[in-house]
Amino acid sequence: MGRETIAAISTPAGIGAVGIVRISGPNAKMVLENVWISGLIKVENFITHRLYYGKISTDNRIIDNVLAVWMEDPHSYTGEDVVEIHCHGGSVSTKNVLNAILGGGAKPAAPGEFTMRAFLNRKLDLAQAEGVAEVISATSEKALRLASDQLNGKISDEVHGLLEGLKEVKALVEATIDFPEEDTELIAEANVCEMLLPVQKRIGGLLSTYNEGRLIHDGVRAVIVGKPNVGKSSVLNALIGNERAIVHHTPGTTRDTIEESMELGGILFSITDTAGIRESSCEIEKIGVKRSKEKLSSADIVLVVLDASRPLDKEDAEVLEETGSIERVILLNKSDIAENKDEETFDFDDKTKKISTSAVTGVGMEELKKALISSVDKDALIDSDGAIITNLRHKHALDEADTAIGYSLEVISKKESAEFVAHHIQAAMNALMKITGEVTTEDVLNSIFSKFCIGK
Amino acid sequence: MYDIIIIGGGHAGVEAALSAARIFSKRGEKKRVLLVTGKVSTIGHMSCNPAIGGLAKGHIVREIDALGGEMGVAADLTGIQFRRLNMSKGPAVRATRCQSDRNSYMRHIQKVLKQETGSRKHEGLHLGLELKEAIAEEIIVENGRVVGIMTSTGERLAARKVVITTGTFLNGLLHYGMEQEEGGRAGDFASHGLSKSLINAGLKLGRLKTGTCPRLKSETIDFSSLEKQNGDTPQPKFSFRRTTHPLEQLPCFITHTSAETHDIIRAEIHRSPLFSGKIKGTGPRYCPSIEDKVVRFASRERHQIFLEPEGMDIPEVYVNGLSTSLPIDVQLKIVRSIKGLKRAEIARAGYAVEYDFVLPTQLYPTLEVKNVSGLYTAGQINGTSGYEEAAAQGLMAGVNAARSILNEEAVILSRSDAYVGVLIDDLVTKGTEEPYRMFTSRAEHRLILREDNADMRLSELGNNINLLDDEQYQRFSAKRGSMERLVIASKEALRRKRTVDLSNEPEEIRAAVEIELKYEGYIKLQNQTVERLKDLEHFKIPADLDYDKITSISNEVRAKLKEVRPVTLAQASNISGITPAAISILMVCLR
Repeated sequence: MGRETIAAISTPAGIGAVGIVRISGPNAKMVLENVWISGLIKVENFITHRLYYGKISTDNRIIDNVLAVWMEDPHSYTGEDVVEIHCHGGSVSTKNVLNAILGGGAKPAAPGEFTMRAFLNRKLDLAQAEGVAEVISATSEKALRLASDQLNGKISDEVHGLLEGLKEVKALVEATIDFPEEDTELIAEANVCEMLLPVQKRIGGLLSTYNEGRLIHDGVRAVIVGKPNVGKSSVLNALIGNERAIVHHTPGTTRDTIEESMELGGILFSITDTAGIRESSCEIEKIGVKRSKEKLSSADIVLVVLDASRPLDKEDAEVLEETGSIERVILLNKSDIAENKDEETFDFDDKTKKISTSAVTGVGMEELKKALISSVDKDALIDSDGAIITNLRHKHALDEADTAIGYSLEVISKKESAEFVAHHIQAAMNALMKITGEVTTEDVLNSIFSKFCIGK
Repeated sequence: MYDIIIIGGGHAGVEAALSAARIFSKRGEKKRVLLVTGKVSTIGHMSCNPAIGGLAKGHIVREIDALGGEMGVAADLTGIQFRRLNMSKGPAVRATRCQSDRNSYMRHIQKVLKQETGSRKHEGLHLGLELKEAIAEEIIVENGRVVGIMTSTGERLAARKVVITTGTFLNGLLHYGMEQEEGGRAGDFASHGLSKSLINAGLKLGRLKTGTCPRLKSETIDFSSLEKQNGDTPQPKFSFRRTTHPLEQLPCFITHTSAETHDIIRAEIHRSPLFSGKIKGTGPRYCPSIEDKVVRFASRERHQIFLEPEGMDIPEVYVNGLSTSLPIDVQLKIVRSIKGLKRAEIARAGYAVEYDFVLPTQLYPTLEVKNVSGLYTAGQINGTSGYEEAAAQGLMAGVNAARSILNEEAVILSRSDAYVGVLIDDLVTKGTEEPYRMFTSRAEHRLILREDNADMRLSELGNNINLLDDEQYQRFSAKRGSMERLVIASKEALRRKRTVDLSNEPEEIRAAVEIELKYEGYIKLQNQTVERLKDLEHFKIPADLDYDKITSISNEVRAKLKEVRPVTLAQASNISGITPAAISILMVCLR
């Protein structure tokens, strides 16, 4: 077939208990295998149309616990091999899973592409086809509308600029190929490199904004800190409504940081549980404590957990001091077993919002969520001058272009012939054209003829 | 009653006549093909510079040859200087070019046509190819179908198919300075009736311009002071067939314009029909006139000029690089300001020619006119420039006209099959606003469309459509056999870190195998892209598809689709402004 394997999130955007990432194409199983971790069943042993439990990982990091199903060609929606991954809902976790899948070898699906493949493989009849045509056109209209958004407008301006730059280089290279007998100024290889480097730099710059874009999409960083055994992990679990972190009464159970994402009031939060901060002789715990402190420095907001059932001690004071200069919320945890219910003991800082919580009963969790939402200055999040990459497809296109330019530079340094340089430049242009409109060969020729005196 | 009438005896007309006649004759069909031309004695004439091939054009000649066309053989047999260009670059962009002996070329073409006119007869009627000296004045169309032509003497010739290959002759207007005269090219009549009858048949015509360079008398040039450019030895060949290079090889010479040349041009620019607005047609940017170069690139101190021999026994030299429509007295001043040409005399002056062309988006990829069944146009009349581009279209139009008579499926080459496919797809899908010339940069699958593999790409097809002669096919089969064997053996050897000894293989095969191995990675990549496109290519769009009934596409997209009426989804996707979403919708509606 020669068709690529594609993947996309198939559930609607927004919060939901379950999100589905769909992979379709000849390599669907292989892609899953690249990110699948399960002690029980390997992907190659999957039986068609059965659900399997496992974990998705990337870079040796577990991203999510999921259910996966393989539907063998042709008994699937698209008529190809399809793998569907049922992961945790909410845009961040599904996005992370999709990202891992794309890293595993799938290409991002274009709008309507699954449905289109279903047609190609005769999975839908004519009546259904009519309906789907509407859907596809609606999708493209939506895409058009989106494109006129300011944010996207900026990106396409930026990408147009990059394409313009590449077009100029391509014209140079093509001129040397198609007009070998002209005495046009000889184009030194260094010249082509010099023109490619700024383009590469700009792509790099644009790619780096993906992290900035993540603040909008992947969330505000909230870090949970406190001395050991005050219930930080229980707070995390209660907040996300999931037994994510191992909870144990043994102090120092959490030795590494654990990150979870959730959506509150339309804003994404990345919530990090850290190892309890204390002096420890254990080497592993020391590293954990060091990481906790590092996390603090990158936090947008800190949740300081205190044990309300016990008096404050030196370790608590240390934590409070460490977090003094950061925006924080203080959680008076274990309120369910606190003997000392009057909060006067903890009346040490007027400015700080204090919430009485119990991770066990769930008391105070709603209040905490509200506090988190109100801590965010929403305007600050969207206000940005330059183009920001938030769309995974855009990021992939830019990555692809970046790689292709890398190849062109490599080919030049190896003194390979110009048509191979042109090949990679074209690949970079093709990648960028996925974001914005096309640059035709005619455009390249126009550029050649406007620059060089060509023709005998 | 003729089966096919071809109007015009240029490079397109010749290939059209030969391919149609050969297909009929090989299959033993009792069919009649007629070539009508104003002057039988100038069939196969090279109106511009006597050179064939060059970047992308050499590729086309090899493709024509691999399909069973004549141009490659003719070039090999009549060339007086052969070179391969771009040898410092990779195999895909190396190309063969030759200077031809103008008269020998013409004689060879006429000889081959005579052979094809043969002596096959059926019930008293001549079968196969006939030549006729007449001026076609009118295309006769009845009920949307071509039924024949009318000549200037009022003779009516009935035909089932008509192929028009009249080059620059439609309403041709020659410019020598501010003076104009009607003509198809210097010394030939223009055709007015044809333009009118095409318009009457509902076709839209555009206007283009092209120019030629002055020819100088050889004995008045001081070659001793000029840089000499010899051809390559051994001489490269165009044809995959068993051909030779019988003619003596001659050098070209290189000189340059001077500051004085540029001063003369600036002083006389008001006498240029190009700059005074007299010429309305669009000229080719890749072949600008010298006045254009001097004005647009004012900072250039000099421009390169090639002095090319017109042939063995023609005492004339073509001044390549000096295309101009300035008056003859200025041309002489310009010429004499150039090194080596101080005492040169002009044998024939340069001139510009303006002519009508058929907007090629009105054609199917078979080159049949969409709204006149049975009528084909090929060559310069479709807005192209160059002998090679013309010959390629002629060949394809001849093949498709013949196959249509035989009720066989049309032959359409894809963009990944051949430059010929790129050429025709560009023309019928995108149209053109200047004389269209092929460049390698137009081919997105350039790395697999090489001169060396033109036979591997096309000769099987050429044989299937009864164009290849048996000897050529046997040669091809043998070569393909050894190539496949050697490529497999070499790959296996590479894996074991050994080498295969290719030194006993013919040079052609050795080079081809090496390319296959050395560029395997790139070739694989492009083949993958091609595979992905195959889906769209196999997706045929019915000719009667009612785009108005497809509600989900935008009006703009609909208008474009209605204009081009693409034959496949691949063609549709090449129309500018057609979005991937529109393609998806078409796909949906067609399923």
